[in-house]
Amino acid sequence: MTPHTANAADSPAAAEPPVISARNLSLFVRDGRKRIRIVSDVSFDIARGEFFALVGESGSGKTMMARAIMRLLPKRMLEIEGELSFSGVPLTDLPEARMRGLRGGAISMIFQEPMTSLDPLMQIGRQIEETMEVHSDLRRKERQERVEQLLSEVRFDAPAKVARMYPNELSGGMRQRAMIAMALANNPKLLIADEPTTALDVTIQREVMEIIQRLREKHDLSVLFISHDLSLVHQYADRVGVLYAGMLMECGDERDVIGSSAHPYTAALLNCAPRRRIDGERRQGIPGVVPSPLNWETGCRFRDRCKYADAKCAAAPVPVTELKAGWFTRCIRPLS
Amino acid sequence: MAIFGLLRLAPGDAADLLLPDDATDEQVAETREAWGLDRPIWIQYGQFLSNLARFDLGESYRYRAPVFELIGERLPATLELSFYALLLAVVVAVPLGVLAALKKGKTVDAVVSVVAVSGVSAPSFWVGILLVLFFSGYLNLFPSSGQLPYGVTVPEITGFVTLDALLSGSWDALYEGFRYLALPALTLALAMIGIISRITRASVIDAGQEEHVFTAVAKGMSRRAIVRRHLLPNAAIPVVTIIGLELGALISGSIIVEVVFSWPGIGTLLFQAISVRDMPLTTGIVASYTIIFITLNLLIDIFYVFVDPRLRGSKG
Amino acid sequence: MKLDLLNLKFLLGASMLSFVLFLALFGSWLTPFDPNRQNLLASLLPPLTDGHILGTDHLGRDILARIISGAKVSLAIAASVVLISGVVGVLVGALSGYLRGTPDLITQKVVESFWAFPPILLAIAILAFFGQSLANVILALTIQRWIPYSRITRAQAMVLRSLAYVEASKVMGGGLGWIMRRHILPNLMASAVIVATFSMATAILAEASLSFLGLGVPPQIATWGGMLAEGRSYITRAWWLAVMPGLGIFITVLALNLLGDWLRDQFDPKKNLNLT
Repeated sequence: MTPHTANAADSPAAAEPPVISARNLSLFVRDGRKRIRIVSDVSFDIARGEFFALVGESGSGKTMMARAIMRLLPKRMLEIEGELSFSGVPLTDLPEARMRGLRGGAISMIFQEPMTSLDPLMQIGRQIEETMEVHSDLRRKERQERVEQLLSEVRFDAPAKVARMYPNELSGGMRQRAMIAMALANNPKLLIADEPTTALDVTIQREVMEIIQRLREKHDLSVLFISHDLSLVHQYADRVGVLYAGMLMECGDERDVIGSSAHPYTAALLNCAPRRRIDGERRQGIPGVVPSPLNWETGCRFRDRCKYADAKCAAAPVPVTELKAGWFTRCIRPLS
Repeated sequence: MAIFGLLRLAPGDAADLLLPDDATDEQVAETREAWGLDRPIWIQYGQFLSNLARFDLGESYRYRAPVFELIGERLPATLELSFYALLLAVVVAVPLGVLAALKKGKTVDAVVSVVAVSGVSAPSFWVGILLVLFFSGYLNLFPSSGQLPYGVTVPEITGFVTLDALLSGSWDALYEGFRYLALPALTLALAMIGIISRITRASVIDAGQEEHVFTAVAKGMSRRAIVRRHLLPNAAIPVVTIIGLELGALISGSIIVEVVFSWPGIGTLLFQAISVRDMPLTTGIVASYTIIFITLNLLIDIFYVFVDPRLRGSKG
Repeated sequence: MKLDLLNLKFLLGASMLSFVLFLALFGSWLTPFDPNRQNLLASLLPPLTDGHILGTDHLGRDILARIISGAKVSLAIAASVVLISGVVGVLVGALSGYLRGTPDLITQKVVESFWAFPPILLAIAILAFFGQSLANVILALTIQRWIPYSRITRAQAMVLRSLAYVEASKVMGGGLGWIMRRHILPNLMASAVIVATFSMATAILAEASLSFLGLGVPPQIATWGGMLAEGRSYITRAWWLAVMPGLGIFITVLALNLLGDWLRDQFDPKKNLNLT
């Protein structure tokens, strides 16, 4: 297949390798003796300071992508094939000790469930400090100062007080902000946000997104934003990758992918986004379900649910087509 | 909580139990009258309650002494034995359980699980006898009964032999005290080790599946640091709960172990009281055990508040 | 590995339990001796002498014969305790969980007040005050043992009552008895069997403890705990008196615990049933 790089030439940071570069990346989970492919042949880049959104229904493999980049699961559970590098450093064979140095350091992550992702028995401040203990040799005093600075960056009015609180004393939105503060503690280059706002109210969602956006600008942070909320993606993302059944169906600038989707799946996904209801259109879910990794067949994996599909779609693996520089789709009859 | 309600219910039940004692003797009729057992039950109950409130548990037939005093004399020995047994059990079982959880599915795990299930299955009086057979009969290492050898005494300060020996600096007595404690404490501990190690294993495994452990991995912390700082503190809470629930088993176990090793605690006293049908003493001891049990459960509840910030007044 | 350990639990547990059951049921044909026949001339014989496979006790009674007759008593008592407490506990739990409201409140209070006593102490108290008899032993052991059943089945019944098909059955005019028989009780059986297995183990232990303390069935009946208590005084001279009956208890209880573990792993992989 064609190697498709991001629009490297247009990027201002042309000399610098992309923060994340995935080439023909496949992921496998092990269940006893079975080895199941859950992500196949995915390629994309995230440039410095870029907000990259990975969208898809649940079961598409997007959370596994995030975990693979962080190598959060041990190799015996999650196997990686293909190339995956961070700022030019290949991650696939990086020794665990060096990987640990990246986790929470140059790459950090926030999770979907703010209610459960903080240790209930430890003060917020201590949990943030812990990240610094691992990655820097700041002294206690300096760490505490930094904690307060971080907490005020995520818009806590009384950072010193919040630092001494336990997670149960904070609301979901506050906890997610504390998670962001924790993730930023060591000035990361990449923030992976795995559906960070799904569990939150709409108003709090906005607040959290604004904080991410502002910090991203301030610290030249790249963001890998994993979501199924297309309105958020439309609002904040620079580039979008659409994952379906472990395959990247479409990838390109937000304007192109969301604005004039080339892949029928992207179009279908947009069609059922709540935002469209305001335009008077009826919301309709995509009929059918995402095929399970156990019954993936050759040909397009979306064809059973695609209204444009015919026999050709089932015949052979669908190649990637480059529609214009940096805009790719995996469909034999793209919509645009 | 409901515990206070139970505290009020418990002696009521004990008073009920006094009534149908119909081992037909003239003596029984006499005692009935003397103890007011011929009066209606609610009056008895009221009397029992008011007596209990004044720490008056009546007088033992057998010892011709106030039940309260008899219990007071023997209670420290029981508490001392239970304390060391629990300490020993926790010190052995918690690391075993943690080890089994961290090496889940490996040989260590299987071995611990075998040890645990055997510990739960072996009757403590049998284990006690086996230990006596081996350690005092065969090896002659530890004494098989009593709390201290003849002639060795400690000045009574708190009533707890090892503590008194330590406070008064009687090193011989301290040494002997521990030698006499060894087998009964070990017997009582073995029964609990199985339960505690199993629960520790389960709690550590559960705690390992919490999402905040993922957060800790994402922070770049080492496995060891995560276990120490996030896993174990979170696993401790259910472990303490179960130890609390097992206090009942500890008490039941201590009665039998005391009898096996002629330990001068209230368990042996209860055994003697029952065998001579000394009802006031029996009632008093049963009530004391119940009160101890309830008090310990209360202490556990208080402990939670200290350990778990979720139980302290929260706004979230 | 994990699967192997699990199967091992089943194999060991089942074979030990069958062994004990076989002894209890057919054991009397294995030994020519009467368990209560005294022979002072042949007292304290070590194992494997004069046809006494496990030796004799201080009154010259054959230990194997007594262990076999003790097995019958122990198993019969434990089985009736488990059966009675199981039926009571499951019914109470299922009804209070299904009906909620006042009946539930009352049973919860009863459960709490029974639970305020350390387990064996209540049994000791009952036997001390009511006197020793087979019926009282069973009563004393049953009185707290129904609680684990009722706790677990209550929790499950509360979940079941809100399930669609149970609701549907109610809407369609199914009476309480019908719904209980048809939908609630069958669904509680798996956990009841698991609790029963563990409960049988603790009942045997508790019965042995009571007999050991001299509070069990009347002393003329041979029981494992009673034999142990008698044998204790001869421990230095004749170890087999106390060791053999204890081994009987240990093997039986171990077998039941292994089977209980195995059952729980089969039906309840999340190990929600921690009450033993």
